Amino acid sequence: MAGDDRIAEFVELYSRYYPRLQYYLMALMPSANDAADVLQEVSLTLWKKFDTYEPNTNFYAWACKVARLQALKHRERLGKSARLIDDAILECLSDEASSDELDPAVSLDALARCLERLSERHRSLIRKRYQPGVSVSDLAFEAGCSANALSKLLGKIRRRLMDCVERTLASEGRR
Amino acid sequence: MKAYGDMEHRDDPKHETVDEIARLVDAVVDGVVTDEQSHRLNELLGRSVVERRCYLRCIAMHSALKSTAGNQVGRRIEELRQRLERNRVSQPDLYPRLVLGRRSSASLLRAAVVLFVVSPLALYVASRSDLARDPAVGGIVQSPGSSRQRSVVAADHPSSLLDIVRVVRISPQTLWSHPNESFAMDSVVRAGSRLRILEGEVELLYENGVNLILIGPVDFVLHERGGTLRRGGLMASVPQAGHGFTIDTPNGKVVDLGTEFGVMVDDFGVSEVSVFKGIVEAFPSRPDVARDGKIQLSEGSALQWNKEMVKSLEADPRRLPVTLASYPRPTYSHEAESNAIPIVPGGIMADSDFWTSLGETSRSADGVVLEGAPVQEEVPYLVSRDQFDPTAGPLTVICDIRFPQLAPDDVPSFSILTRCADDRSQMDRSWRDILSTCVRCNFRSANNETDGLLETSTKYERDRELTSISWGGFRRPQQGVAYRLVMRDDGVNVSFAVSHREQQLIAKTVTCRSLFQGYKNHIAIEGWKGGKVIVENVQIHQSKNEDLPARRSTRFDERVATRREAEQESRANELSKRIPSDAKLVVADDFDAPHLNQNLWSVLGDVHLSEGAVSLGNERDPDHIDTFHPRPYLLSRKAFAPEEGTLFVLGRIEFDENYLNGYGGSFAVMSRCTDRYGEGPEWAVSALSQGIRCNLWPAATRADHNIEIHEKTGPNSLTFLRGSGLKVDRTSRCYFFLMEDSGGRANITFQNIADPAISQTIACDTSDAAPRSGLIGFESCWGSRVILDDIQVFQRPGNPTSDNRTPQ
Repeated sequence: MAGDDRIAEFVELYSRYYPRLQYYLMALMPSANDAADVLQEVSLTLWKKFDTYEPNTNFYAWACKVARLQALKHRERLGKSARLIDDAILECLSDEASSDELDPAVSLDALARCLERLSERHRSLIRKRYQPGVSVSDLAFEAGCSANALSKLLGKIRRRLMDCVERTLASEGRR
Repeated sequence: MKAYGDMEHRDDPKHETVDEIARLVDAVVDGVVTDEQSHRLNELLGRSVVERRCYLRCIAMHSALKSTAGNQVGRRIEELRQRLERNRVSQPDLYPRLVLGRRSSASLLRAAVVLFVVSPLALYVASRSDLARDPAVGGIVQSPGSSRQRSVVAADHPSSLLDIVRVVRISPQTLWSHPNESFAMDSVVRAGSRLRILEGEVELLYENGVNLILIGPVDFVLHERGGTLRRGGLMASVPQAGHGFTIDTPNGKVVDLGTEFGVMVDDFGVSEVSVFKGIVEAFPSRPDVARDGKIQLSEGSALQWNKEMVKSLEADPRRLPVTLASYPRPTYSHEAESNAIPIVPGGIMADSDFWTSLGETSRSADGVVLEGAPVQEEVPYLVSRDQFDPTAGPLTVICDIRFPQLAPDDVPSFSILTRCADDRSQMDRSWRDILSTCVRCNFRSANNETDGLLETSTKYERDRELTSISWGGFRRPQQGVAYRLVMRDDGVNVSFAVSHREQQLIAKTVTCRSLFQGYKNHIAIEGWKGGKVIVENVQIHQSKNEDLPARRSTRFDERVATRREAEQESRANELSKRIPSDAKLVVADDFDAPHLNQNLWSVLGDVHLSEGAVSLGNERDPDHIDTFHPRPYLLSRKAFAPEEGTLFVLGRIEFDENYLNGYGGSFAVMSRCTDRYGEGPEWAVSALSQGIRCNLWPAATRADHNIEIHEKTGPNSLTFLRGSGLKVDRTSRCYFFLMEDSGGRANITFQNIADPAISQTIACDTSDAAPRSGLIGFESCWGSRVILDDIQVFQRPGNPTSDNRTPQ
């Protein structure tokens, strides 16, 4: 049984690495809500297995191992036809996404600022898009256009955001 | 550690590959990926770590947007954690039992951790239909009516966790009727909760995606799948999952069939629904409206009803509560209205050019005297000759008055009327001399009493009496006392304040909502039939819409704009079909790279990349569009000789917002041009010294846009070859273009992207004096930039020159 200190440590680590775990799972399962579903399973499994985590070691790497297994189970459940990414590529992505090369958390502040620079309508569209349970086809239905057309518009806004984030980070000397 | 924007240059894949991967990831994440795209993504990811890193960079953006823009996970965790913390006091093991199927005996801290960690799992479980049907997790049920509405049931509050509704926005000025009943941002609102606000807006988000904006003053009771609007206004945006969303009003109900609509309930028993998208069904509580009591309304229509009548209207966005809520709140200080335009300053209130009299009115040293005629029982009026529609901008009428003589049994009265007709009712009734239709704010003595009354009324029709609401609680009008009365009407909300003129801060103020749309919109002031009232000063102000804070776009506007933009974004340049299949692509740039490709382009003047396109020029003073300043140019590095093969230059442009101001913006595509400005008089000096110039000149001073082909054979010459008009569509600033130059003949097509039917092509021969080869250039003018994108240049092999010339 873990002591209270151990529990507090878990809370701290889990909340700190939550965005990166989300990113890791999205890298393995980019389509729609797969990653969100598995992330919930992962959170429970991490807690169950936290006794096996060695303090002061790389929590993210440890959590990625757990997450990888959960992701593979999820793929099994989906069946072969629903798997978007080939098995061999998935293994490569798993290794590369679990490395410290990319950390989306580094960019969160910059992204929040860049979101504010969008027009109100584009910002509102992006926010709606990333609300849980909201699909592009829902939004397209609401707007009266095709999901493909809306996806392209969203893509344009995202690229604008990526450019903005890159410029912001560059100006702050963070890249 | 790097952010997702980081890419080692040595590892950079080609720009085209980066772009392709980004688009494929978008398609996957947005759920619109095709099998073909899926295969292509695997193919790219299988190539090398460089492509995979590019993929991960895109994924990182989506993930970051989920955290930053969506920001729901943290909020949901917190919400559930709070809820379960509350439950933990009485049922500390409730949550583990619900979710894990076992009891927990952990310490409080451990419980908190469990809640924190497991909350997302609960949401996950609740969102899985297969588990929701599993009796093993019996606390999880599926809500009736929607496969998307599933929630966890708490043992102590069975309904509290059904159909979660959250407060997602509270406007800064929001004033709750009862602070103890107010709701905080992000708080959960349970079915049966009553939300009453005096001012401001509160936005609610239902679990099924229904978005509801309550507009103060409003009194609303929340239901699981809708609510009861007792008073005030709301705007609902209902996605597919929310069909059947129902708003009850005091005299009927409105049922959504997948739409966007506004509902208003005024203080005189009138309900109104306006449909801005889709279909709603209105059920007025009147059995005679249809066999089943139902009236179906489609986009653009509105319905107003009370217990006596049903009236069809057009949905008017100006009456939207959302729009109205953007206006400044009612205020009675003269200073606060300083931005308004005073229509009638105090000194000219008796100006006969402005007013017309009904009944006895006269001028005195103190002002205008409205004198009733007891024998004829005629109420005197001053009625404005002009009409003032309050939906065009809130109206404020300020009157300073005195009752010079009052007997103890007099019933003095003074009224300010808005949305009124300019004739009397003339029916054989006690209200015969009241204006035939109006919204009336009245200050008077209660009959034979010592009390005073404030009364707001609506008179809907000539043959109908006033429908009124009265407020008491203060002294009747006193002889000789100078009063200040202020009425403000924004088209729906009417406020009325009475104070002593010298003590305006101590005012009695009443407000009401009247949905009555005036058949005429005069303003009037009304005396009383038993005696005199002296009107010492009248001021009428109307805040012009441009003086108001920028009107927040309605969801209707937003939807239309999003649809248009999405369609434009996805619309392929149909003009490309005109390019022969054997033409070779010689230049292509979508300008999505971080820097302008110096191998392809050079520039003259202010030309730079902007958000994945090229900005020809900078934003300028909107009214100053100068054609004599040197024009900005994007120029190809490479020279082309159309004699060696016909050139096809394809692209898209977007004019700046000011493009129809001043002399008008301009865009031109040129072939056979140099990289030097011209010389000589007038505007030729601002353009390149030579080339074939195909120009779209927006219709700032004309009925149509102009399309022209010019030829510049030298630095001080300009020859007009051919011109034609292009229909103006003021809702669109985006055009595709295709220029074709075969050496002896040029033609140009511009096509409105939003409406491809608006398209024009002109063609003409070029002279032998024209240059034979040169650069390809893109031009705007100083003062109105043009955004240029998706340039493609094709050249068709062969010598087309002589063949294509028009026979002489």
